[in-house]
Amino acid sequence: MTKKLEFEELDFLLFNFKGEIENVMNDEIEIELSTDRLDLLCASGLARAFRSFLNLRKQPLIIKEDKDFKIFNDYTSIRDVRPYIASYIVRNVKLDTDAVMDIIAFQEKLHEVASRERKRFAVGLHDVSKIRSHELIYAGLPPDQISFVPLGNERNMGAKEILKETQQGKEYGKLLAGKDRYPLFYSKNNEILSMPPIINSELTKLTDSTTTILIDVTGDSFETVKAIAQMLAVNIAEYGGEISSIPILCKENEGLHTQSLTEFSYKSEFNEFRLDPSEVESVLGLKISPENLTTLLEKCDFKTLLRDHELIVQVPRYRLDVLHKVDIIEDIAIMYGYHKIEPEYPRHYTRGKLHPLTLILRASRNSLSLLGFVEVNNFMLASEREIEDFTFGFEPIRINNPKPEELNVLRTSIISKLLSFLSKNKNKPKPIKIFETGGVCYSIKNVYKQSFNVAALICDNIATLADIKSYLNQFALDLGLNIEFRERKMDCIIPKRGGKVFIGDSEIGVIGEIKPEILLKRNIEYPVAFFELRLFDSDLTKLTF
Amino acid sequence: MKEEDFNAGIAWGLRRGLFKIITENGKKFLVVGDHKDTLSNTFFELKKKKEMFITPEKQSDFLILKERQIVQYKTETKIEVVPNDSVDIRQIVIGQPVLTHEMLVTGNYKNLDLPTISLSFSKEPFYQRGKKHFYIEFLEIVKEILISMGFEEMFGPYVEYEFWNFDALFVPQDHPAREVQDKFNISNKDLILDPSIPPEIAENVMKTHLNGWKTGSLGWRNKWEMSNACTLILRSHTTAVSIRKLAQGVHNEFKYFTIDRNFRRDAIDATHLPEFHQCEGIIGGEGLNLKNLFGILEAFSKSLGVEKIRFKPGYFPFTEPSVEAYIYHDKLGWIEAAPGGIFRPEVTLPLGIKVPVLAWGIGITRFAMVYYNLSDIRELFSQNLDSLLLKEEVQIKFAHNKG
Repeated sequence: MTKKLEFEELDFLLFNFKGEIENVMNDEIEIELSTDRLDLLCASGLARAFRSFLNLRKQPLIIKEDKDFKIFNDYTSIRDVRPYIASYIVRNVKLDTDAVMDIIAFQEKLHEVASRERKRFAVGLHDVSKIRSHELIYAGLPPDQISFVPLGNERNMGAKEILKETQQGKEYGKLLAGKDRYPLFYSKNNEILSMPPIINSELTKLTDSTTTILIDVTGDSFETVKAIAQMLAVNIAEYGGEISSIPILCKENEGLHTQSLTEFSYKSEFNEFRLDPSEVESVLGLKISPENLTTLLEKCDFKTLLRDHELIVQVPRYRLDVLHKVDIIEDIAIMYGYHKIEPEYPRHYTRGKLHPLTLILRASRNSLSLLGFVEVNNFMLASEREIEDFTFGFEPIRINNPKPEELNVLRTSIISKLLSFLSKNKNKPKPIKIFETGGVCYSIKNVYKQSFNVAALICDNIATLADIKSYLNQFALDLGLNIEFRERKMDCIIPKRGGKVFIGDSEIGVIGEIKPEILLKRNIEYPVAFFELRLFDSDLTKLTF
Repeated sequence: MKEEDFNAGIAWGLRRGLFKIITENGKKFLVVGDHKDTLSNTFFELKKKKEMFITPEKQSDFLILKERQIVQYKTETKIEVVPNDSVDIRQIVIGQPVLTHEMLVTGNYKNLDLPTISLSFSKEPFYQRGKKHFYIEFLEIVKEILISMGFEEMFGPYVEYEFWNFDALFVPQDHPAREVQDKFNISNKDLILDPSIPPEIAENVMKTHLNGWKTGSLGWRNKWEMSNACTLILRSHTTAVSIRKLAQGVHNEFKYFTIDRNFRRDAIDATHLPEFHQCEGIIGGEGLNLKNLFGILEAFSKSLGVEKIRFKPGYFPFTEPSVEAYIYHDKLGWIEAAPGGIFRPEVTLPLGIKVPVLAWGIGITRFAMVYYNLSDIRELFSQNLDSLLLKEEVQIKFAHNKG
């Protein structure tokens, strides 16, 4: 049931499990995996998946209910903190040092990748050989009633002290901030296992001689804690050992009900899906017989029954990624081999069509480039300083959490960006003639607007309104725009050297010579004349335009 | 004539050697010399011609005429390629013989001895020209390819509800991509994005998240809050555009695409920018399946010049099955190029879409960088005029494709 893998084989296997080899260092291989299959973020989990894929499978997953341990979940005392617990026990474990390291690393990886800093779930592993009472309690207690020796410490500490003094307390204490009850996992004999999600007790620390491991997972979704607990149990037991599930008791099962949580799903170790082979064919385009489907499904570790041409698939709870039949169908495709699926161009006919926006922007870019302007491509993200003087009375869209810090708005005009470009090219031979087309965003009376603009500038020893106007006239001719000019005062333009551009009664742009102070502020030492027109207004009421 | 004008005239004439004074018997006589008056000749010639070239022998005459503000100097320049690469190509050289219209008409070209003009080129950019941006032109060609494959273009807003960016795509509200370090939040107070989210779609989506609704899914079984869905952000992927299109209503068979900008809180380096383009599309219709998605990705990649493609299982929260297409590049080897998949029923059914919808994207920036042999993504937003002017035309890049 074991197999030594050649490098190429490992590469191929990982390929099929959405992973890849990142790095090879002597006898260590670093691999990258996607985050949908949390159970594979562990050497033993990966080995199990590979064994099944290569038909070297051990027996299918068997989980019985534990006869010895039980947990009383005092839901009401803890509803507002971390209401749920799930627990498994693995007996007769055979963990060598490497295996212990693998499991510890897996636990850390789970926390890191999926727990949102232990908010979603927190995992505890315990050696329960020292626990005398097997009636366990998960409840919320006032912090001043909690006191135990936390893991890695030598003396008894109170709950508040643990939050203040231990490294874990400092890191995760915020999850308990302001709560008048803290979660505690303990036995009827007051033997404390852990104070989730902060720290375990020293009492149940794992050692080299541990043979029985109890796994507890706490959090605010029963589905999640159950799945994570099962995942850990399965990956530990892969090294040898028998898994059993510890029953959770509640007062009349209060609270253990979310909309989908029935008595069955609460106790069950599997989610069951019914799958019609024709559904597989319609999703994958592959004709696979029900018998072959069963074989492929077993390679995924899914127990499958064939009943009246329908497949009943049992998916273990730890497969958190399986929410729908389509997830099972993907697994079938993976087991079948993506590399064996022949591409087939779809036969249905549709008519290709460019959006009018693209056509208008294309016409603009043709016209201006033929008029001797060089096109540039800037960010829409801009700095407050950049767009200053060029907001044209619109309210900019501001970013709450900019990164990098200075790019904290969206541009309201393109000319602001052209000037930034110009200031970085100020020593190039004159004249410099540049343009850009693209989106600008702003709000009018608190309503978000976006439009697509064109802006062009001339920078030369002499660059007057007359110069830029002759270009704009030509541009307007090319685009069939019947534009008119009206002299208007504007903050960015030298008085009497510019104005607004109109089509009929609607204002569509500005033209003019930029004020010297504004140029010098941007380190531009040559005159600049520009125009900017709004070419296309997005009608957002059409959802997608 | 005034006495001072007379005296000035005499002095001038003497200096020019037009006449001289002979003293005889203590009396002074004015004798007119035989000196040729080149200055007045030049003056009258110029008066007739209006414009003349300055030749070495007439240089002194012109100097006088200029001093007395009778003539104006004009500079005419000629550009010549000089046979030395180290000299600036745009250096101005005057006076070298060239073939002219006049010579052709008069036949003077027969005596012309032309100097060599070197054929070795300089790589200096030529500034006096217009040029389209290579990257935008690249994207425009990609649009042409998609049009040829029957795709219709769509656009959507840059500022977006988390609903269309995440929730409608079945991304759970506690997904890491939704954490504040990964998306740009809008800080404008009370900003309205019209139209608001249709209530019936919002309800379907909410139920799908909570318990799967009618989609056959277990759902995420997590908390779902409308206030999170209504948060405004800068869209982080163009899939938001696809999803809006589906929500708006589509025919039974359709293909749509968009190539546009998106925003993510990535630190700027050689491979990441906070603002980047995505190219993606959706294909809907009865009977479409995973093979068809592979077919579309293969055909599209071929049009982009890719000869070898392979498909790897992938993971995206909104598609299942999902695929990651890898393409083979002669120098770079296998590179990740096109993610895709079939939209989950949890995505399509709440929007009222009953047919399968294949969705794909393609790492279009990556392609542009490969085509232009760029190692730094920032060059696509270059702030250097010279580098823009020196780029080859995009059409040439595609002309070499074998696909």
